[in-house]
Amino acid sequence: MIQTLPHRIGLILLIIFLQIFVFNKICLGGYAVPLMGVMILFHIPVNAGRISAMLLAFMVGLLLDAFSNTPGISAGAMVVASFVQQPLLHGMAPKDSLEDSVPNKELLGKYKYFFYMAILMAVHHGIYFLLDAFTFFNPITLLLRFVSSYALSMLFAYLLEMFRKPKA
Amino acid sequence: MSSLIRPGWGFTDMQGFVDWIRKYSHWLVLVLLESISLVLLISFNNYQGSVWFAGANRIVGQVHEWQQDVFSYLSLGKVNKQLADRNLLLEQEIEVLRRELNVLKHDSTFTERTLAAKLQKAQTIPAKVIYNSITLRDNYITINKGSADGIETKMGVVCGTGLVGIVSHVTAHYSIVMSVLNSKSRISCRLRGSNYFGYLHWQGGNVLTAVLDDIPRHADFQLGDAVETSGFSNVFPPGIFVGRIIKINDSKDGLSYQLIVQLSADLANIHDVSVILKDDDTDIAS
Repeated sequence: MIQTLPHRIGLILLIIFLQIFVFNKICLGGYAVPLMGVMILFHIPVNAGRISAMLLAFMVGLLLDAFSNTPGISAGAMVVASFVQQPLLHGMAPKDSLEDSVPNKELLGKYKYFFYMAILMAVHHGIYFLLDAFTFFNPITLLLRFVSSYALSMLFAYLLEMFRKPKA
Repeated sequence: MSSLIRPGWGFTDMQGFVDWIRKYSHWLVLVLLESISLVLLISFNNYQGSVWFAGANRIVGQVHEWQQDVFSYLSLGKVNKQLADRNLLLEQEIEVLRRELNVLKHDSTFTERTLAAKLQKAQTIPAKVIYNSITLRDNYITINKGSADGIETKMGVVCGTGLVGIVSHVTAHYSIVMSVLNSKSRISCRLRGSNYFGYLHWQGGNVLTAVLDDIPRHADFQLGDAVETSGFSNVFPPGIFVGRIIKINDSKDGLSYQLIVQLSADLANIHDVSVILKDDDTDIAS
């Protein structure tokens, strides 16, 4: 699967747009907020390298932060998630995959891809809520927010991935 | 060459150092980017020259404002109903106040008169909320008025139903307000009708309740009593309704009461707010 640069940038902007204008407005029960910015990291190619992945994640995080009044929170969480993304992908992608292949259901297989999403999202959400809470002042609330938001984000990510056109 | 790196991080030569940097460059980048994020996070409230955010806000504010314009057209029907409800409420309140005024027509003391004068002097600037969050532990609200409209940091913000927050960042046309729903927010409040005061803060979780700390043990109050601003800080004039006591707890050290207050303003659903201009008269602050 070959993605052109405009296509990639378009996808990134679309996800940022959706996060700011749709997902930020969702708040179930005062706890669950879907954080979909991390989806941008799902599609970083196999051999992009950790540093470029982190720089991209940082820039996207800063953009999300500026639009959500959350200074440094998204940026910090995105960077850690992108730090994990490359080694995780290398461990899961088939050895004979092309250098610039983009991780998706076809490359990794349905179950592995779901697992890959779940881990990246858990890392991102974990750091996000830790940075937001900063101290463990109220562990129950922290845990509740993490679990409910994580479940909601996974649901949305799964739905969005399902509707993504599989390309040959 | 990597064998030249000895335990204890010592390097035998320059090449070893370069290899070490190359090997761990991704860790260095990680630490660097995380440090920037943390600095942004920590300095956001204290450091007024958070330039990046102030600069970005000109664009960000404009985008949020466009979006808010679309949303406010869509919710005009609801706003109409809210206004009608509010009207009814105010009419009832006037009726009650008129009756009470007849009962209480006594000579007002000097303090009461100066306070009333102070309240009248308090000028406000109406503004629209263009971005609002309630889901974080530190929530902020963006409004569409800035220094060009006379807004400065540390000004109080209220809405029709109660307290909203305090201005924390100002750019030319937009301001960021630290919401009452922010772990760093501390607002001096008192119990209406008595002079016992404490400070109001938020502990996360429920967006409709906040906590009033430091009410002394000998204070006389009961559930349902009104809580209002004390006016000690010169941010809010005294007597602005904040909410009602719904639960009485002991403080951790057992020396004072900790009251749970039902906030009168639903911060999840605010559109129009007023910023209270500071007057130059600072005698109350001192």
